[in-house]
Amino acid sequence: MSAKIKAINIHAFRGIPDLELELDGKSLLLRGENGTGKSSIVEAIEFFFTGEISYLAGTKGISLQRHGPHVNFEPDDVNVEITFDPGSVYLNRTFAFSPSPPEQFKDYFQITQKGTFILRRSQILAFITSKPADRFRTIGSIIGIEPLDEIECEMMRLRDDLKGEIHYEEKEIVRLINELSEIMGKDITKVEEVLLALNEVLQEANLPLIKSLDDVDKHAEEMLRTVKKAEIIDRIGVLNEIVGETKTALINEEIVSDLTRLDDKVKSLLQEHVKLELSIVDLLETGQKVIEKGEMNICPLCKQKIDRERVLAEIDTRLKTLQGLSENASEVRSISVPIIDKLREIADKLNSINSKIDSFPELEEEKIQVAQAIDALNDFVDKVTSARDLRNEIPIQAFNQQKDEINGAWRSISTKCRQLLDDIGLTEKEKRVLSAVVLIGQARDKSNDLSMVHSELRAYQNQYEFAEKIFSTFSETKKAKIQEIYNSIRGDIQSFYSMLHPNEPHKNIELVVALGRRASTSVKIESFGREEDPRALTSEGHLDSLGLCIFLAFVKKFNEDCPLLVLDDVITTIDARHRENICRLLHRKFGDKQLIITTHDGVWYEQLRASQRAYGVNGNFKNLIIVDWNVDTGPIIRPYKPRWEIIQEKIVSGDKKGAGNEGRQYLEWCIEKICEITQAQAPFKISGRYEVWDLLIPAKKRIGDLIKDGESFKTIILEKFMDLEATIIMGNLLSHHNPLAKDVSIEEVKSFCDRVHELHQVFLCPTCGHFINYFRDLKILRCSNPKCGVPVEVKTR
Amino acid sequence: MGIQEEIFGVFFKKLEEDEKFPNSILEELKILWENGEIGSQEKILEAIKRGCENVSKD
Repeated sequence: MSAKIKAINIHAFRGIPDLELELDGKSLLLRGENGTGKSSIVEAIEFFFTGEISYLAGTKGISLQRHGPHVNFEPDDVNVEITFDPGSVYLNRTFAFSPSPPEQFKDYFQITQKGTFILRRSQILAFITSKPADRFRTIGSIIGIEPLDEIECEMMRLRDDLKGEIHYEEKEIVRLINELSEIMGKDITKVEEVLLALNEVLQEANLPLIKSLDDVDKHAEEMLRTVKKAEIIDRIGVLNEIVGETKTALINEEIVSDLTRLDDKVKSLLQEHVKLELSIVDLLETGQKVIEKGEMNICPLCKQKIDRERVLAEIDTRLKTLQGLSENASEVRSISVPIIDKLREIADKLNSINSKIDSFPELEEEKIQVAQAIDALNDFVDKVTSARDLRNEIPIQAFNQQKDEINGAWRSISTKCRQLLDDIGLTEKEKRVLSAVVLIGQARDKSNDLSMVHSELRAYQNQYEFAEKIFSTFSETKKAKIQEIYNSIRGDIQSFYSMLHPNEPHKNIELVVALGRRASTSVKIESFGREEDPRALTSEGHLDSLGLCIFLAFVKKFNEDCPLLVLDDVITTIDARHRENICRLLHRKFGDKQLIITTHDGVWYEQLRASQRAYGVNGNFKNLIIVDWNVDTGPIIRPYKPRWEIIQEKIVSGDKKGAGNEGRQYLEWCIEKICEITQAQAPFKISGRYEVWDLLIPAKKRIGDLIKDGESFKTIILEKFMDLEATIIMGNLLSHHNPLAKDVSIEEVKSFCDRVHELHQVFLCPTCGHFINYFRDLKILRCSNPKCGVPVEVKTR
Repeated sequence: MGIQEEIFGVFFKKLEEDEKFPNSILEELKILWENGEIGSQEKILEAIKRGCENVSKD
């Protein structure tokens, strides 16, 4: 036996100081005007199961801790208790305590804790009118694939990063080849050509040749021994190294153009809407640091207790989502990797040269410049890194200026070191030897670097190939599975929609995973032979009912083990005829669930009440009405009373306006019902909202045309219509802001209400009290209750 | 079986059927999934690296 809610007790929550709702496992139908606490009850149910109110989540300046408690109570007072059957299991939730369901309710709670059993008016259109990515998220939360989205994002980020590393290594190879070519004075295309080129230079300088690149250090050492000034050989060696290293400019134009390209992409992402999300990133990161460092479990804003681990986990998830803003952000991440690596490499070179010039007092000024350059470069790397995370633009102009200063210091080191070498007074041959040694050293270093970069590139390419395979396979599998799920509920969506809109030219409703995007869902519907976005060809009411059908189809598939379904004031734009179809859909397809339906709409409430009788399930429902609300009492709830009983009470108490309003609503419902059963032809109104006179005249005419002359039933009905028309002005006077209302007596109002009631009574079967129905094929009006012992029957034309 | 399990089941099967995809990486990925660590790019990269090492050893 599945779990059912037996009772709900709400204390100090939202608009409710104290409320006890005894459901006894039945469904609840609750009517109340706006602002009488209907939604507070739904929010309390949501809070009990999920610990949250999704309606408040993400709303600026609003928090559950501050705005969840009733205004006269403290957060610690909040308590929502629910008793479940079977077993009268009592569970409760406060801000500090979560319910621990027993084993037999585990499945129930596993689904309800996601909150996907509740549909609100504000959510209904999320299935239809929201952006494809938001729609995907909404659906994702119902079908439980949100964590998969994050996993897919991580796989994509890894692929992007590896792609960036590959680009960097490829550029490094080009740079090293170019530098080798420049050093050797001829075009080098691969490392194997270096030895040959080196020996050509040595031969030209009349110096001994090298057999293998592995021997270059030994060879250079032997050549240096031929230099006379052996006592300063180390100094010469260092100067030679510096001269070799500083031969080419440190920062070339290529990196500036790479930075400019990256900055252009960053700028395009730093638009207003992205900025807003980025400011949220800042806020979240600051919050993360505060909560982490302080190990705090109290919210610094509202001073309420928080679940620290959960908040940190949620911040982390949100940050990850925000960082993956778009494909462009992905590209920015990818192209920034080699640029940042390059800048770090430049800083490393400066560090290396700084340690080498340390023993030369002649280069004191350059030492200071290099130290400053290193600091400036490190700062700049930080700026590029934060630009990669879309927090700022890249200060290209400032970098250009720094670049010139750094290259200036670099050149100055080179010039001074050459001068120092000249001052040592070497012979021409010694100079030739030294330049050959420098050349050999540089060729060795670059060749080693080139081999290393080649090896790194192969590793990255290998890793990229697998990372790409992992991402694309996962992404395809996920999309295919989700599409499979969409396809599996397609029949239900179509069947539900057809139940609501029979004989209408809308078919082939489809949810489609967008192939080109990572997480996106579009909705298609075929109308008038064209496949379109539903917004293109259907009315607001149709969109509402389509959203409802999609939600219900997901509920049917994924909330099978949860017999609870809450619809909070969802029916507003759907007209009366289609609402009856919704009743049918709910009773036929979701009759096994415990429904909690709230509404402010009296007609929809009556329709749901009538449908309970029609489907023989009135014993399964608690029909309640919120008659009043104030801050001290909360919602005052009474059992449903038939409208006629309410009208009589109001008449007895002398409430002219109240009785008049109820009487007019009673009339609207009655006439609509007569039009519907007799298939009266009312003029079509796009809004779907009809005034009394729009329907009264067609109803009367239809009765006159439909029922054969001489039938006493016809005479009685037409008399009742005439009686009604004589008093109908009372209803008008009292239901509008009419200055004459004060002149109407309670007797006159009573007379109007009595006429409506009499008209209603004529259409009820005298045996069983069911409304009569029109059976066109049989050409009769007959009691609609198939079990009626002596059904009323009237012949028609 | 939940949808997540179903998707990962198909995902691993596809990789298994891919002759070019090393079994060693697949096994590493399965361990990550079982340990609930597959939602981290660092862990996936480590798995690829370890998998590649094992391929070299084989």
